[in-house]
Amino acid sequence: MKLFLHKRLVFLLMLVVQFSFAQEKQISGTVSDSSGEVLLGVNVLKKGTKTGAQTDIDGKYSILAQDGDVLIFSYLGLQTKEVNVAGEAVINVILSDDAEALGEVVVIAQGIKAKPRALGYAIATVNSEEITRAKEVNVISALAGKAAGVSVTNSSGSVGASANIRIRGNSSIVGGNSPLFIVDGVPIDNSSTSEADGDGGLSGTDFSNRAVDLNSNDIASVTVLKGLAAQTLYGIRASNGVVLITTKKGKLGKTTASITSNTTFSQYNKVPDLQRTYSQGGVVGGVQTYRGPETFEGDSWGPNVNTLEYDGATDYPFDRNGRLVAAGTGNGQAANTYDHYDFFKTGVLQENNFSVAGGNETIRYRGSIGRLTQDGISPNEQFDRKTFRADINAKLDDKFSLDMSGQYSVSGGNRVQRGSNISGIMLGLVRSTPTFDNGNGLTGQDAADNSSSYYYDIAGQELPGQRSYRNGIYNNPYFTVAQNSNTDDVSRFIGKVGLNYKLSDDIEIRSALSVDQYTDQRKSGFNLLDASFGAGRVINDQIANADINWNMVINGSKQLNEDLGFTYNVGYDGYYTKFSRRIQIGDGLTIPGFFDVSNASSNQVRESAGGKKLIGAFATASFNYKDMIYVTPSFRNDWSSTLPVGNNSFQSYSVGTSFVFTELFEENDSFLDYGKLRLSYGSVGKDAPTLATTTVFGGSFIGGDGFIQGVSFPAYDTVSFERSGLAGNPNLTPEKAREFELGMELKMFDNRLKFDVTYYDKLSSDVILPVDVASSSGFTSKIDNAAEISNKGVEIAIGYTPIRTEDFQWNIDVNWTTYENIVESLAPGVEQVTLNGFSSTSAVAAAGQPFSAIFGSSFQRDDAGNVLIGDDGYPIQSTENSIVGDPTPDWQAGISNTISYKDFSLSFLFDIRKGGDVWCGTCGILDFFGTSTRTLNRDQSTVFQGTVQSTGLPNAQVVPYYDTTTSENNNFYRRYGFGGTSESNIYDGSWIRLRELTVTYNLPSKLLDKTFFESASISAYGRNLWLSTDYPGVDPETNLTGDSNGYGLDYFNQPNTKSYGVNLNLNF
Amino acid sequence: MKKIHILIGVLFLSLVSCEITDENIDQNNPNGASVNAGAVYPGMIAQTHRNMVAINARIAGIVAQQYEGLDAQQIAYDQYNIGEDDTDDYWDAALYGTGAMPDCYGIFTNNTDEIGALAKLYMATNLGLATTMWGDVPYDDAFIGDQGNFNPTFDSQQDVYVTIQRLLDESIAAGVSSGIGEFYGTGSGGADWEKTARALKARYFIHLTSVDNSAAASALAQAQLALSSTSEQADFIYSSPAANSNPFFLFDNDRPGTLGVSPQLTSLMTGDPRLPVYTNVDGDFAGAGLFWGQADSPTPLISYWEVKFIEAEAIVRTSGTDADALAALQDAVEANMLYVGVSQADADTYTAALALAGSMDDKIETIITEKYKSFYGNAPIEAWTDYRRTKFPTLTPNPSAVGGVNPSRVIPRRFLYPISERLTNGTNYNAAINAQGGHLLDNDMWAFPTN
Repeated sequence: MKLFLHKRLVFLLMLVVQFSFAQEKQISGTVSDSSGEVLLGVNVLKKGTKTGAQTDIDGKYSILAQDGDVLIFSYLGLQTKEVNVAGEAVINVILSDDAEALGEVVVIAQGIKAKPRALGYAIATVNSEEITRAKEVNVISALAGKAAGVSVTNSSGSVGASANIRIRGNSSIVGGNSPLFIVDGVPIDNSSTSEADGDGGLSGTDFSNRAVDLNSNDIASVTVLKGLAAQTLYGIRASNGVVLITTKKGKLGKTTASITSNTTFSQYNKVPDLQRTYSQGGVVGGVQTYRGPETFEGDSWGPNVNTLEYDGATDYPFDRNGRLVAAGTGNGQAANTYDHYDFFKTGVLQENNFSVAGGNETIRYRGSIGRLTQDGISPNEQFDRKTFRADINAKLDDKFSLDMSGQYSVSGGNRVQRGSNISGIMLGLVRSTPTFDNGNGLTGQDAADNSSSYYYDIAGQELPGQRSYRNGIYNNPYFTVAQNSNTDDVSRFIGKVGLNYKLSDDIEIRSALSVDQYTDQRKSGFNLLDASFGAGRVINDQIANADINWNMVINGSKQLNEDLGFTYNVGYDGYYTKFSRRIQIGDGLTIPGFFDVSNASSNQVRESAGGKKLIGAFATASFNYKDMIYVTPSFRNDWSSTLPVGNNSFQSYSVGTSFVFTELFEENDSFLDYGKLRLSYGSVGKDAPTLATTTVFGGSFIGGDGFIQGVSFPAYDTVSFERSGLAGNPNLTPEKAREFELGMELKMFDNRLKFDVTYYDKLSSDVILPVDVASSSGFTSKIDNAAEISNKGVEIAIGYTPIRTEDFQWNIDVNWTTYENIVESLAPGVEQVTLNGFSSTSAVAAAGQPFSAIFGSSFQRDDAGNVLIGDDGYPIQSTENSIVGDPTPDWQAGISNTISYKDFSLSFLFDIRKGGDVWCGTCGILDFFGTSTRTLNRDQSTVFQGTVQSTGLPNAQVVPYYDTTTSENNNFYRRYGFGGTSESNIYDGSWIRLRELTVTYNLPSKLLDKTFFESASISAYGRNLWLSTDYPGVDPETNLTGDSNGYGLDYFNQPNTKSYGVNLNLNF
Repeated sequence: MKKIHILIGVLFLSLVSCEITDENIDQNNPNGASVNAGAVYPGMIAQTHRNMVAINARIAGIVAQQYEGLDAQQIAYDQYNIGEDDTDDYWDAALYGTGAMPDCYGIFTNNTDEIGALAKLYMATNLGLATTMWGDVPYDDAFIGDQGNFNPTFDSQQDVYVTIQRLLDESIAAGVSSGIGEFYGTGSGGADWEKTARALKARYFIHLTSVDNSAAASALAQAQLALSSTSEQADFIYSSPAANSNPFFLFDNDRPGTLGVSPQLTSLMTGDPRLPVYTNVDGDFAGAGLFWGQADSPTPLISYWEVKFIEAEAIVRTSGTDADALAALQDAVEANMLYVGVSQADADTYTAALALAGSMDDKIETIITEKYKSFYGNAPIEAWTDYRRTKFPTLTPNPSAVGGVNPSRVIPRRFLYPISERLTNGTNYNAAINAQGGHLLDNDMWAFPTN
């Protein structure tokens, strides 16, 4: 192996020297990539002219030029190169995609470009192809499994459902843990706004995080800045990491157009198993008795289905076969059982994108249009997105250049109710007793389209009854999707104007002003007879958000002597955000299904608004010694409006160092091509949430009863106010986070093996959060600098190319991540803070425990950890709730393979998660109602393992799971409260899944020669096609509370999906 | 070109000329200084009346066997599986925290005159609810988180009962009769607030019959100064939409099929003319024709019939005449019957059949059993308190009861302290538990020892 990289750096091209004449002559050559493969369709342009050519199938070009001309070679995805014509007649060019070999630069913070070798910290880059491979709707979902240190959790398979992204775990609480999203230098909003009458996402619908407004087809690459040192220049908003998105740009040369079109089909991938053996009912007078829908009872603790038959009644609204009666007393037709999951259908997604790009010496441009329509797996579930994007870069003169980009998007759809919600789909669906046919003979969309599945006539009454297995107590899922609606309609504009001024060859001033503005208009309708809002309800919810960003940066560089040089950047930026929301709730509808406030007999209106302003100034410099040692100190000062006036300034700083130790080696003596050690330390400050410094009064809310709706004043024809339960704090100080990071990068065997390992240790202190306080103090929480959260982890990325020949290439990329995310301490006297969840089971931050530990009820245990058994032979429930689970995975890995052979390529991505608990709240409730397969042991007896509390001896008492002599409540599954103990429903959420599988065929150019197409490809792809997990509920990649700080909760979540489809791509 | 340069220069400058201003003012919520008592009273009053009949009151009604759990969590409550996370919302958001008591405290701290008098009366009522459920509860040290005390100590139950009487005395003295702040939902009131204060004094005296020999006499004296008709009682009248309706009606609306009327109550009231307006053949507590299960069913703060029951019991306990006691009992039952729509004739027939005979215990059983029937739908917490205080009416614990928080599986004697106090006020929480010898459901509290 030779270390000949530097030669390549110097000899960018191979020259064949000849005498030159000052006249135009034919110049020809071959253009190939770094692997030696010739390239078709490379644009070759004579600089400053419109004269150009393209390479043919053999990579050959020819062009008329004279000495002194400069030829520009450009090709999508590869480094553009300029070559001086100096007499030669043949110019062969290698265009490289190897960033380091040719000194390609990466964009880091604030639009500053740096060589990868100069970076003192880890970054991860995901390219366009990887993002669009599996045709995810949400760009965040497309990052899953593709970058070390990045965790993505899709909240469910609902269309447009939010995806939660965390970089290196969690470091804050109210400050949020979602990274900052920056598109071409424009910070954009990625929030997700929960429902109008929201309970933190426990019920209602899955709403989107706003990154869903981005079209993946516009994205050239995504770079993830993981460490604080990388984030210093962005200051507080970047303290959870930065996702830098670079969009595709126009290239110099001929205008090219591209069309992609794909169709994807999706189905649910995993659902809880339901029993089909026992019927609806319970114990009546010591006998297991069938109790039908007309009893309103919800249990499936009745007799075996095979002891029942139909009576053949034709006037029975709940079953077309008649009532169920004991075998021998009816018409002899045996009772049916049903697969409730035939509610779900095959979802269809269609997406079409069209883009045009091109450019000349002064202007480069790209424009695109995208349209996506998606029907979900639930009937009537729908999501649409239209995006329009334009990018223009213009050289105004020698000194000035202008960058402009604009994106307009319209997105939204019809969401479905889920979660802890008797109007939700899954709640009614999986509790349904096996003998009830929700669809009344139909399934899927057909049943939703036919009201006979969910309505029945009631004589002498204008309104029908709701046909569900509990006679309307829970919605029939078909009623939910057919009669209720939850629409959202988001219009969003993201625009930027940037102006760059070249002061001298070494100094440049860049400034930009950008805006990200959207309105989200939501309307929810609950029709008459709905289980939750039987009188009907309409909610209009108007959300508006505007972010304005501005900045100015001076970039310069200076070479002091042959060995020592530096670059520097000094800048200033500002951010202003404004939010407003108006909610109108109308109750009591008269005309069924007419969801307009004019149809509501009473209305409540609420409004809220807020704003925040941030100003920052920063400076950084990068010193470089012999391209071998780099030292980069950075400093930033922020001023935030959310902190107490007079104490609103705080600092961030970092130092990164990089040592490219292979520079020390002699050229021939190592298998190592490139080796680098990096070390960095950073400290970032973070401001407070808005409106946290004062205690306010708000409209009185009459609550305290989680089973029923509360009263929001104005009510009873009067207004009323009460003091907020949250005590403001005028003495808040900024949060701080500091991080130490150490890493190494190696490239060896002619760059065929790449290895990158990082260790980091991060500590967030003075973390601001609403600390729960004793409510006897008159408050329920106070805002305070109260927590210390630590985060340590290791990230490894390995890239290997086992085969690299002209026709055949095989790449393997592996990333592996592990971290420990601990809440080190909370305020004195505070044991824990609830992040999200229910009274009975919640996700908490507790001192000494992992972030978002699961807290709930458990069994009593002796000192040895044995479960204590009562004298009745059953385990005894603990009197106090405690930590019962940890949703942090032990480790996560992504293994990606890309194999290309001639015109075919195959890629597949395995996504592995080891460990990470999930609370299957759904499972406990299904056990309680007797619809889970687990309850099939109801006719059996057992000896519960443990120690008898009264004797201290091992338990040996045989007890039945279900004692049918007194009551259906004398039942193991119903002894420990509704849904059992939390502990019983904690499951390991480990998985191995085939996250993505793609096969692509590039049409050979011979076929395309006679067409106007330059290239074309067709691919087939699948997502989540295979999943292996022991988790008994839906796919364990799920989160009830969506993009929030609480994880690991599953309570009637919508199932996740697997999907497959075909994509066609045409370029001309 | 020069113009462009100037223009661009101006643009650059305009970007940097930006000052940070105070954006951090809440435009939608006023600060404390601008909120007057009249702006706080309605919510406080609405919350207090809801406290009489919502969540913990329903659980009290279940354990006192006026109601029966049919589904979900209500089954667990019926099995006495009532944990630290079941009754905490009531503590955190109905009484303390964002509940009614800090509202009361704020009003009467800022208004020492008659403007604050009604807040003291309501504070006494809420404090009474708190101590009957939990025994020792914070008061003297409470509600002053804004002064930096986020860890209030717990007052002994004995002290809390003294505080309740003091608050009511102060309320009367400050001029609660003016009724400033009164609010009746959408109805119109004619409440006599001074007599209501006397009624409450009588209630909180009679609570102490097991531990204070003068309790009955004190209660009698106050009862005789208290409400003299149902028209004088402070009824809260609910309205629409559903959220603003009577909590029992709303529970049936929001959690249908999970709660029913207890067969124990139904069999106890066989032949009672109130039964048809209490429940139906399906065992419902809300629905057509059921008095306490309508959207606009009222909730009294304290009822005239309660006053007369207290009077009857106090007469018996102070060795008054059976005739006087019976007269008070008959007035009580009659008032309740007429209020729920029973005809005068049916009421007369029923009350004429009432009699007091036998031992003092027998007479008290008769009175408390009648009181229990009258408390259905309006005062389930008092029914539970009377049971714990007098062991009447005679109830059999649920055979499906489970251990855990109630190792002896008796009809609960109290609620566990809420998880919120355990996690945020541990020292004082543990002190309170130690002072009372535990807080599981079978631990007696000071005022209600097992007889």
